[in-house]
Amino acid sequence: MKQATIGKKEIGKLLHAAASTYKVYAPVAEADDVRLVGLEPDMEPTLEYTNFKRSAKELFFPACELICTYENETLTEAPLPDEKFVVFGVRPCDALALALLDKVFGEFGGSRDPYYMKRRENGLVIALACLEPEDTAFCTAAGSGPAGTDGADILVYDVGKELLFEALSEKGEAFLSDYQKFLGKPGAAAKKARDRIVEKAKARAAELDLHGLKQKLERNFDSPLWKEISEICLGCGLCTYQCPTCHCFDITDEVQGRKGRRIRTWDSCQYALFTHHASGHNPRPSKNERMRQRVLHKFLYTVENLGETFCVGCGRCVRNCPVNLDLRETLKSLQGLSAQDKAKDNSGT
Amino acid sequence: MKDMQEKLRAAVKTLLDKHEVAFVIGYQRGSVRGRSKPCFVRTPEQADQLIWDQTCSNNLTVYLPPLFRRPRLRPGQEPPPLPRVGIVVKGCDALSVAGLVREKQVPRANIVAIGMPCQGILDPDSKQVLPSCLDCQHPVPEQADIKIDGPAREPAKDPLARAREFEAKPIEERWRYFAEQIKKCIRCYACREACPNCYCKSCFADSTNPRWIGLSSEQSDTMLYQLGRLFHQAGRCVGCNACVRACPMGVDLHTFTTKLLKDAKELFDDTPGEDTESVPLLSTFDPHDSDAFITDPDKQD
Amino acid sequence: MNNPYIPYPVVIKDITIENDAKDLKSFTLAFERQEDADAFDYMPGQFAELSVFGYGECPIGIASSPTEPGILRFTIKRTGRLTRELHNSEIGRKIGVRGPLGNTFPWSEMEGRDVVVVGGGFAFTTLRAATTYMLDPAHRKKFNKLTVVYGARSPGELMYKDLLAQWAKSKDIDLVVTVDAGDADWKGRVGFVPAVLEQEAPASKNAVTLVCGPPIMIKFTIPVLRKLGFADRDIFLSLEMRMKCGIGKCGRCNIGRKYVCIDGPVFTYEELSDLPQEF
Repeated sequence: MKQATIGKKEIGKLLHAAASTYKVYAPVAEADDVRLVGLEPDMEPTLEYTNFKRSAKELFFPACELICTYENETLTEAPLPDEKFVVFGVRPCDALALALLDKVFGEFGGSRDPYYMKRRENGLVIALACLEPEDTAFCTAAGSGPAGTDGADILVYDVGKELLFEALSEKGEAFLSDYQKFLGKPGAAAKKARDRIVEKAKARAAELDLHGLKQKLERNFDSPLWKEISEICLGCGLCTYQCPTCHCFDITDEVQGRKGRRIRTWDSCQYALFTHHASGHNPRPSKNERMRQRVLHKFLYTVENLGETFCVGCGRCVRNCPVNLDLRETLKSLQGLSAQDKAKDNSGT
Repeated sequence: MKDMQEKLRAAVKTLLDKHEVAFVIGYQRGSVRGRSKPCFVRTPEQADQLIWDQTCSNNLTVYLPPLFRRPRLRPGQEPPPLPRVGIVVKGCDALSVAGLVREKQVPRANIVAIGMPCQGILDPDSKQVLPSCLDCQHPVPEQADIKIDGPAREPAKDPLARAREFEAKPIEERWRYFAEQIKKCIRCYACREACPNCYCKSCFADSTNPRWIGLSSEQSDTMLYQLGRLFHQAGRCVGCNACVRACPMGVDLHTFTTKLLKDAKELFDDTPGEDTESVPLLSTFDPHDSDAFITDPDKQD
Repeated sequence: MNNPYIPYPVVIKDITIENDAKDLKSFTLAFERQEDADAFDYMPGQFAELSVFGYGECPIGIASSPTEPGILRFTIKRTGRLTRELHNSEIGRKIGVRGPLGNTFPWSEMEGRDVVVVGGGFAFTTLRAATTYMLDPAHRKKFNKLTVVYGARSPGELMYKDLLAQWAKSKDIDLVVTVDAGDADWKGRVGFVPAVLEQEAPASKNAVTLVCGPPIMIKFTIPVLRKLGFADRDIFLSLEMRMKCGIGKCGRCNIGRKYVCIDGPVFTYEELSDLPQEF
């Protein structure tokens, strides 16, 4: 089944039915917030949200992952995650982020990350296209967009009283077939509404101009602009934690007597100790180098290594930075730099 | 409010014209609805960027300790001169400045504090005054060097009420609330970095030798981090609530910072930030200090 | 599919103190399982993550050569928590090893050419591996003249003293050992490595050089090599960075777009000059 509709009021029934086979993560209203949570029988999913504070990356790349346990120096590998699950309601930007993380945790460097890749195998992603992205979002400029189709198995369109499901992968098609008793065939009006959403998304103007940014970043590693940009930064790392494409992590051992475990936890290039050597040397001793690393990693190095910008324009870092250090303004300033090689540039700028 | 903004800009222009300070740390228009952002103003012309309104939420004092950190000197090397800086402070921020002076992190003579009476910070979305501002005891920065006139909130009649109400609850309920709040924590450390008192070069939470707390997002580790940081603020936290505002997940740190203030006041008659001369609470021992927590641990105080 | 985060179990078979200060020790490790030994197919230049349960992991260059079958050797300086724990270990202790990781010295490029090995201090470990490999009868003919210049701060800091004595007697290798400052018993060369290298003036025509040492040594050796006529693309350096995963996923060890754990640790000087100077 490639396309199907369901009345908005029925979506809870579908997801609860799916919950008997899968673990279902769906948007649920909590005190002051809508969060993606494991759906319990007494919860009702909601569609009243723009985006979640926490991105879907934590369902595939959890903040804390067990690698192995050990006792008396004998190691026991932790079993790989095997729970089949469905994630419903992520926005296209967060779904694209998963497609990007697939590249890093997949074959890059010659090794596969077994935990993340197993979860991607086990997980079915149902994304919900945006009617009105957040005002801090710049998804179109970043290569995604309110109706982007990367990274998801099914894309859902809000076509009025109904939701229109569109399968983007075999897994998605199989899901729609399995639950066809809840679904109907899309009528002409629904299809038209879906097309309007797609057209509107295509017509959406890029929120900023990122053309040519890569060349400028290549040539301005030592620019004093980095110091200016990072002057108000607190170095708190919040941006990296909320970012759906940030993937830096730490591996540490915890021990109690003769037993212990090795865990992987999220880490951030914004922390002072991230690159601190045991000798005391630190290649990135201050905020400017660390801010520069973050921007260059996302907008230059991943482009060179993987052909992708590691930013989906979700706007979380913009909205939540405690000092309103706006990545959009940072990128605009960087766009003002010269793309000329210093040797070739005779004007002295 | 606009009047205060004009006076502020004029005062900053004068400071910079006369070269009395190297730069002034203040607020400029933010890029997100309902937000402002910190800015460093270095020339009189740049002073026109400065704003003053109820979006000026950051405690700018956080930028001060690194400015005055003395570098390691080689034998015979003269210490570099310390800068003199201006800083825009609300009532709470002024307490932070005094707190840092008391802890000898910032020399008072090198600060020109420009005091702005505050009516409370507004939530960017709801436009209501933030709950953490409702308990404010010091809306007017008394210790400022340059005092800008303007309306301020009424000081809260019972600023410690929140902590008192919380303490009155049975311990199971208090624990449950604390655990619920901590569940939201993602260990991003925004609270630590936004706090002017967290100026330690090396934080206990990052220590590997020994590793005091684990890095996992499990409750035991997150609780230890939060409790550890809060206890390191005992007798030092002035209740500016920069941590509350920085937290992206809405963890209710306000209840616990109020508790710190309550303990400092009721057990030791100390209000951090009120003066620059007294010895910080935990740096001194008085035989008359309350030790009920040892002698009478079951007593609810 | 192998989980690249899980170390192979190994046992410490031997511990040798390498210097007078006793803060440099060589650990000889044996795999517990033959299939792990077979899977651990490495060449000199590569490193591995040594795993000490309860203390974590650290990346160390492999000091042994695959021509020394059945074992792995690592020479480790006691620096932090994990290395201190290793130094306090006894023979028979079980630890873990993940690898081999990183790239190797440019073995195919080195064939048919002179090789000049320049090492300083305890960075000489992977150069020990490289030299042992080249001297092995099965491989020696692949390379032309082999020159090794190795220096340490003082005679007591020289590592692999038995091996150095063997090499000194061999016709297959031109070995120059030097110290920054001698002592009462030292009868050998005295001088900083860059200066001694300049005096030895090995031919740069059809030659490749492998350089490992502390940053200060590298800083002064590069100009000497260039003066001798070595091209930047024929100068190979081995870098260090703080690492965790060792497989290019955790984002920690990059210099510009390159990750030291997968694109390195061996880089040519030409490559390094193109990268941002952030290391």
